[in-house]
Amino acid sequence: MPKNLEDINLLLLSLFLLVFVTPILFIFFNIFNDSNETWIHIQNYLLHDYIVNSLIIVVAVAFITIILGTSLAWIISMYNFPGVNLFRWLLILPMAIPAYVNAYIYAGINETSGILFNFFELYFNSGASVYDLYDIRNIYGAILILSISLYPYIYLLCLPALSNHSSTVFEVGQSMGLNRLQRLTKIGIPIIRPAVIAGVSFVIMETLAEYATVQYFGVPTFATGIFRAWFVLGDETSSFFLSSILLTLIFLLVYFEQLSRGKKRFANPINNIKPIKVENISRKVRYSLCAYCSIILAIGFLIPVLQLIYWISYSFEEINLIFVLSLLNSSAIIALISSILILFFTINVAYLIRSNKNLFNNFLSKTLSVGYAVPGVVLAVAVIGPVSMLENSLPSIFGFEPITILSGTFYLLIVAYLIRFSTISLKTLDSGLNKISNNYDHLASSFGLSKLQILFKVHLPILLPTIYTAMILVFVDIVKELPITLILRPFNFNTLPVHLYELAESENLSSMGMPGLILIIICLIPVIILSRGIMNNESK
Amino acid sequence: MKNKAILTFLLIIFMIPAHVTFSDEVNIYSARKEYLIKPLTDEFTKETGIKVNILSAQSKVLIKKIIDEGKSTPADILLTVDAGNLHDAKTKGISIPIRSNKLMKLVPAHLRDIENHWFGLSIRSRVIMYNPNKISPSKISTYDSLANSELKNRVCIRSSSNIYNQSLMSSIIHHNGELYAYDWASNVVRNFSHSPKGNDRSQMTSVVLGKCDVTLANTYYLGKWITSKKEIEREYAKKIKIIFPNQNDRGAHINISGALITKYSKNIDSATKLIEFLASDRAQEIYAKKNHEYPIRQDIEVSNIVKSWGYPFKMDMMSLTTLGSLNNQAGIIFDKAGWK
Repeated sequence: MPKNLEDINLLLLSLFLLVFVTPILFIFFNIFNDSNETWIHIQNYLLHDYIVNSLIIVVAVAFITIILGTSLAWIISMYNFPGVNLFRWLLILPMAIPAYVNAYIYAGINETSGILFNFFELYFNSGASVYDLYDIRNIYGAILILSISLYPYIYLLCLPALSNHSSTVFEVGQSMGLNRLQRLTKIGIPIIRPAVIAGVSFVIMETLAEYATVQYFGVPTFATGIFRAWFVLGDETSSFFLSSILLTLIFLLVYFEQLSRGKKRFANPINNIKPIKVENISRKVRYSLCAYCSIILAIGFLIPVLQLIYWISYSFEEINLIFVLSLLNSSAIIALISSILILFFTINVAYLIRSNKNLFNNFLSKTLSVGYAVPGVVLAVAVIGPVSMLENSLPSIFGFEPITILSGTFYLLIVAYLIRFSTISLKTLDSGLNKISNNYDHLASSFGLSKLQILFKVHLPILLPTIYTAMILVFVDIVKELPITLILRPFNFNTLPVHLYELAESENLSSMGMPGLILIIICLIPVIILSRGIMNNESK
Repeated sequence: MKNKAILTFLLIIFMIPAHVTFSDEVNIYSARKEYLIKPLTDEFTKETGIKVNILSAQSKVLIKKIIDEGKSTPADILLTVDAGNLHDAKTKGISIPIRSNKLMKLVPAHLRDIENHWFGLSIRSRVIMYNPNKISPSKISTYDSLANSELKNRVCIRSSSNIYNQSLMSSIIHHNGELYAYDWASNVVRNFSHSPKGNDRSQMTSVVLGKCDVTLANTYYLGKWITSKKEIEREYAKKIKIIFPNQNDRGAHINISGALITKYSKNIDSATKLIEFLASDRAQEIYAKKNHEYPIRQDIEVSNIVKSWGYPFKMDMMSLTTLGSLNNQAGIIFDKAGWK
């Protein structure tokens, strides 16, 4: 690479790193502020609820998602039952419905426009008793919704882990006289443990970051507390205190996850070993396994989609398609710009780390990989903090009329997306680059190609599918993002999630059909890409 | 080639307009959902050529934003619901008095701030809704009657964390004093058929399904049922009736949605024009009909549905400034009375 270009690149990356760490550092610097009345009020009356509720939800969701994810992966890999090959990828579909959308739908399902209520009222004339029995707007509802939306992450990671080790290890176990339970505890569990740990730490991060679901169900947690402290109680300091507690917890979690992973590398999801189903099971068991998978699929995907279609079915002429499409349009444009920027930086970083391992690059990669762990609400307040400080102090120092330079602009929104979603892109690219043997680099440089030429002529063409995948993953994550967009968006800028949030706020759930369905369809794209990988794995 | 593409892309990024305020633009921070007010602001733009920008969020969030942004706030107007919120914004010092003879004429005195910081733009009324098969309307003609012991296990009302209930409580404190208000709340709680859960619509559904016989709800929720595309909701709407309470004394409790101009607005003239437009006859008709609310002047047409409930009715004329200022006390009394 020409020397000056390399310098410019390094400068750009340093700038990028600065943008990245400033908000996070800002939060931790604020813990040195004096505590005030609001903080004392929060400590006395609210903090207990935040801690207890957050812990209950995290532990319960982690537990349920592990049970669901591992049991489904286990039976899909080990047994033959009707529809098993279909269920293998159908069970990933619940990933396509953002948790908050599920929350709104499951709240609406028992209202006068809900399928559950109508079903019992019209066919059994017992709407009244169902109406009384079913109450989801509470902590148990939040646990259920988050579990059903998040279990696919564990399921998805366990599947390849189980397939890769094929049936042989279990046959060996059997020949050594282990019974069915022993084969599960002595072989099965150790095999999937790394996958479960990786999956569950992701689930815990998502759970702690979740804002809209718990807010809608009226369950106070850290995420809602941070929002409340800032906006309702009007105190940034308390908001930063809460944020720093939450962030410390999450960073510890990330640290332990990496510690437990150690030097072990994950099993490659694309693998040629075809698992042979060893266990012989009775007809009755076969059908109950099928029923189990069907129930999970119904709760996680079919019922929510059915409810959305039901809402659409009787309000069809009221739907303002142009409006919904304009929401989609603004979502898509900002997601596209942000994801191209993210790709630009992360390709750069990933390549830099590969070609040159030094302290700066190491720090860069470590920093980028924690971005996703910062909850949206925390990130939003962390971005406003330093910016408004700057905007309020600069005019008085330089003596010009105060104007908003950054707050309420797309820049701020894009910066926040950059911090949160670079991690996804970097991890995807990293795994792609790791598959390219270093021999390519050596060969290319022996031909006299410069580093830049190697990047463009050798790596990028091989990496292209990975780049597309990374781009799509980031794009969709931004399209469905809610709390950051809600807090940082500029004038006249509404996205599908923001619109859904407003409909839910104004007790207008039945208008959710069309925007909700479109959002789910977009979110299905990466899910289908992921599931194709799994299907390929199976068919080889 | 590739470098050029990247350079062009970066250029495009930096050309995305940062926030630029033009003199013929008005920026609204709105606690009313965008899809409710956009049709009106579009009309305004068509008429005057003044562009309107909207940012919607919860009232508290917007007030905090305006405080944080200080002198650099882009917001010219804060549009919000409930006098409590408008009063809150005024006491936090983010508003200025609006000088407009037109508005003084268009907005009745009890629907605006005494120092003209905010003006009401639509009225909602919190009324008694009941199941006519279960209870005679003569027994529940006032808010006070909901506390009668013969209604034990027959009343359901949503949580006291809701601002509609808080404002109603403020009005009771104003008319009858704190002691009476506390007794009233405790007796209503004793009459609850179940502890408060869900929104106004949930309570109405409970009334139709026979879980309880009487509830309090804002009228427009019944309007939404009557015009619903869903047959079951239209059916339910027939099974529920409205009583405008206290028609023989102070009148039914009302609240407003309203607007104020921010202290550091750079565009006071256009902002004033927009608020005047929203108070004008034409806007009032659309504004009130779209959400089945009531217009601020009784000479303006209401929708046939709204008319069918009885219009005009006697409204509680207490100053909404007072209503806003009693909000904190209302919360304390609810807590003491055990109204969740």
